[in-house]
Amino acid sequence: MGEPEPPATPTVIEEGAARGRRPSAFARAGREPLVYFALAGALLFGVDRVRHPPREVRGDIVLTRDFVDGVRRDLASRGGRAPTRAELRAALERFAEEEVLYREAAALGLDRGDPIVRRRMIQKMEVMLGGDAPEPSDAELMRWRDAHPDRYATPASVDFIQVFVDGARHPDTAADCASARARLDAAEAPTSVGDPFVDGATFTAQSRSQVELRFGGAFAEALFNAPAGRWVGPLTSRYGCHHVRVEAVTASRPAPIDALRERLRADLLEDQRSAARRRAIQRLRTRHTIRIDEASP
Amino acid sequence: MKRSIGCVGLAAIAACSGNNSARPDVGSGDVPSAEVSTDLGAVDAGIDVGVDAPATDTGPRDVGAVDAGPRDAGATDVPIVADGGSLVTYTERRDPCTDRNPLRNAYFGDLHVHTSYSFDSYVFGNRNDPAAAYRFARGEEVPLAPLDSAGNPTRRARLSAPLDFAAVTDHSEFLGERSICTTPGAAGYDSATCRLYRSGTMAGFVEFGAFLTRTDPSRLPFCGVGGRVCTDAATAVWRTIRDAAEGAYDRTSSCRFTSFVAYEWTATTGGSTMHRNVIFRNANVFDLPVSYIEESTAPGLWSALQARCITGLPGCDVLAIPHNLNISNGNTLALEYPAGSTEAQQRELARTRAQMEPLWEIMQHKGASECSSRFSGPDELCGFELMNPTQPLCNGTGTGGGSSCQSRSSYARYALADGLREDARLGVNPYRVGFIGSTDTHNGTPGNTAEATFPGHVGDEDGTPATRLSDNNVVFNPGGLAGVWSVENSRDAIFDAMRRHETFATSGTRIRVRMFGGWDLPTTVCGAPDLAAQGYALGVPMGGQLAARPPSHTSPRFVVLAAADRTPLQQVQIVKGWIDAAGAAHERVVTVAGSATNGASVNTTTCATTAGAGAMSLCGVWTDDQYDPSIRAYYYARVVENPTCRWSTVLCNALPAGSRPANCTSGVVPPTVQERAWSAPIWALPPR
Repeated sequence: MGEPEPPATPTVIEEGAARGRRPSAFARAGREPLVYFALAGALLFGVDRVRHPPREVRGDIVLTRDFVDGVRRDLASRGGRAPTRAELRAALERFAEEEVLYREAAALGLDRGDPIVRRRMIQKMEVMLGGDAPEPSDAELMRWRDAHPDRYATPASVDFIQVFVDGARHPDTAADCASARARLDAAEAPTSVGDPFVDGATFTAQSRSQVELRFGGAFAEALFNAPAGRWVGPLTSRYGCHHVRVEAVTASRPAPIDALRERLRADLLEDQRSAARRRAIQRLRTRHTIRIDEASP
Repeated sequence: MKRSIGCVGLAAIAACSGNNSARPDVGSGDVPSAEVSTDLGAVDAGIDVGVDAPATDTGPRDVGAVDAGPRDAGATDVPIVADGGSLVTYTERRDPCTDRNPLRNAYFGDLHVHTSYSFDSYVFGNRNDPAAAYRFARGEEVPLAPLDSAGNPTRRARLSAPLDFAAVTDHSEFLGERSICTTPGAAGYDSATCRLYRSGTMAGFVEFGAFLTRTDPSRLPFCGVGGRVCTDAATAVWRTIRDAAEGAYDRTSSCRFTSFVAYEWTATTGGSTMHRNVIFRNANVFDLPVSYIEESTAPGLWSALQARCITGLPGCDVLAIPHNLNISNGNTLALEYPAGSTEAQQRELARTRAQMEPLWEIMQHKGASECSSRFSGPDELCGFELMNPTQPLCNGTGTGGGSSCQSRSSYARYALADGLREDARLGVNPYRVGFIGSTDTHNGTPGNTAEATFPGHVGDEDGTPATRLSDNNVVFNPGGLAGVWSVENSRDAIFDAMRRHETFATSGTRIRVRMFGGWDLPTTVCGAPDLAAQGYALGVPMGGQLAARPPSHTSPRFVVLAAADRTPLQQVQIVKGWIDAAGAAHERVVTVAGSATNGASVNTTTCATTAGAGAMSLCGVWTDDQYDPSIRAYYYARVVENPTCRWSTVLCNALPAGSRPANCTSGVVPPTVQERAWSAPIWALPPR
């Protein structure tokens, strides 16, 4: 699982790897840390050859002017001054030599049998196979949101007031709760009936899960089925006995697109990438015959 | 060397490396000259019972003052209390909250959370990043270390109830280094330091951590001249942290979750933990955290935060929260001033401190910092989750890692008295604070405080029953939570609550506790259904300062109302601390509701508890008949649950009898705990 990484500080870029290719995709990817990281990593490692014909393993190693400029800037940034000609030359020689080793190592298959290298290459393939999903429009975001109400909808909620009879203070809770109700039915002000409750008497825009956490499932069930505008009770919680009056009910509704845009965008793109990845992996699988000899039990 | 982790580990490093160099004078940096505009008295201004106007359904508003019309009380008969018309002023664009309560709601959060972006958390095998930590806080499942051979996590975790708010507080030091060392191709990736770091051994952790104990911290060689390579990388990481906070923040009117942009400043000078969590009010923050490497003293940090945020960046506001006083060797709250400073300069520094540090985190994974049975013998409840029950005592401060000594200023109760002494001397109380708890998780799992299912907080280090029950780890606990009384669940409202100290700490349980103090609170207030409205109208809430004593009154009165989470409450206490005319500190603990002998018990073999003992709700009123109007005092509430099995007992019971580690029976830790909550203090000061 790839942890979204902040972009690396780029050091050296291999010839031709980044230049002039699909700037828009790169710009888009820049807003997506995972892709940015993967692209940066891919560029730095030259692994994006997967999508492009692999070059000759044994062949010329050309460090172009752009590449050399990049190394010079990197040395300057690290050293605090422009590198001397000798320092630059040494760095370039070192890179070229490392590239020789890298290509020879790859040709010898030294990347095989190393679990870390294997894991990294798999991760890069997985990211790459996700592809570059196009930037979704607001209409697409809204369709995505409405298709997943469980993830994005603002849940139904109620406003209510309560009168509380503290179970710990009233050994005969049921009787005292009934007399509290009688006072309410006699139009006594609820602020003068019952005991103080730590969260108060007035609750606004409470979702069912919020009510369940505070008062328990049976209470929530009764509350969300209570008619508005009149006292309902007794309801029981772990704290004691309650009479509630629902003041307003708000149905579940989709959250405004503005508040969700970034999250919707990220979720939709990830969904598209993951679907693309699955398709690509299925396609690649057909190139291989897979045989699994299950161990006997 | 005892292998240890986190802050404690850093402390241990110093002890073992012999780095006991004295730390520089506190305040040897620039004394902040910026004028601080907050009037510490103003926040306690009385709240008037007002007339409400029905709230209108408004869309998103521009940045600026929002008329916080109290929500529609419409047909209700509940009186609405408003504090002069505006309950919250937004400093950034968002929808007003539908649930806006003038009498304030209790919200629970975690303001101390490490993710894989912290250099130590990554080494411990945690791969949950800030976005994952926020997902966890909001109730989603996340993976946990240890990692398998393919690098995938082997466990998963989920909260039983989501948090209301959270702040990811990754160590600001090495944000860039950690990124570089784990990003192939980055400059420095192939350095010896990074190779060691990636080895996943404690050596890699120590390599970095040792810098945090030095008096002259610097960047590693691969960071280049001026550390630019690493600070550039850190800027990018910080951007990602800010984006994660943004993504998690609910800006709709539902106000389901609040995130704070934040980081940890990790001063461990000479081995003493003097860490602060730096919490920003909103998304207006500077581009790079001020870390220990930039500012190695607390006054230097405050100055930098003031210059670069409060006065230097429009819309920026910030506060810092010290934590782990218990392993600071007394240093975090040592009252030290630059040699030769004038009284006026000292007063200014005290004022800056009060402004910048309105809260202390007194409960977390690495122990409680309320009080110690070493100093409060008769108070048996001070033996709770002490990290260092046997360390030598030190008078004042000490140095050295692993908490080399225990000082009175290692604990909130006694440091508060030091603050009162300063108030008498300087006219400013530098420790005018509220309390919070948090986890200090290094798994990216904010609020994961349940004893019965504690999976550890330190990745591989305590990822198995055997490692959790080791000598090093068994003294840790699942950590605490931060409670705030806020008009709504938005950044501005919660930040305001933190600024006015209307907060409480818990040991991980979700006890809600209200406390009010005043001269005119009726003795019968516990019978008043509108207790909170009366409390605000007739007194001040937790964190407040009592109004001047009316001539007709001799004694202040306090009321504490608490509701249990799931375990019944045993008792509610009020802790009074004061200094006498000679400056000597005193303390008194009074039980105001419930009883320590309520018949509750727990079977440590089955963890079953006595049914029927204790109460799910407790209310107590107490009048301080010994009140002396000439002395300075503080009063805070402590709400204590019935005993339950400590996490270690639950874990031991779950292991086959024959394979339980020694600490299942060693007695190093008690088999049971009494989870609890602590309110912020209410202050009583003589007229100036």
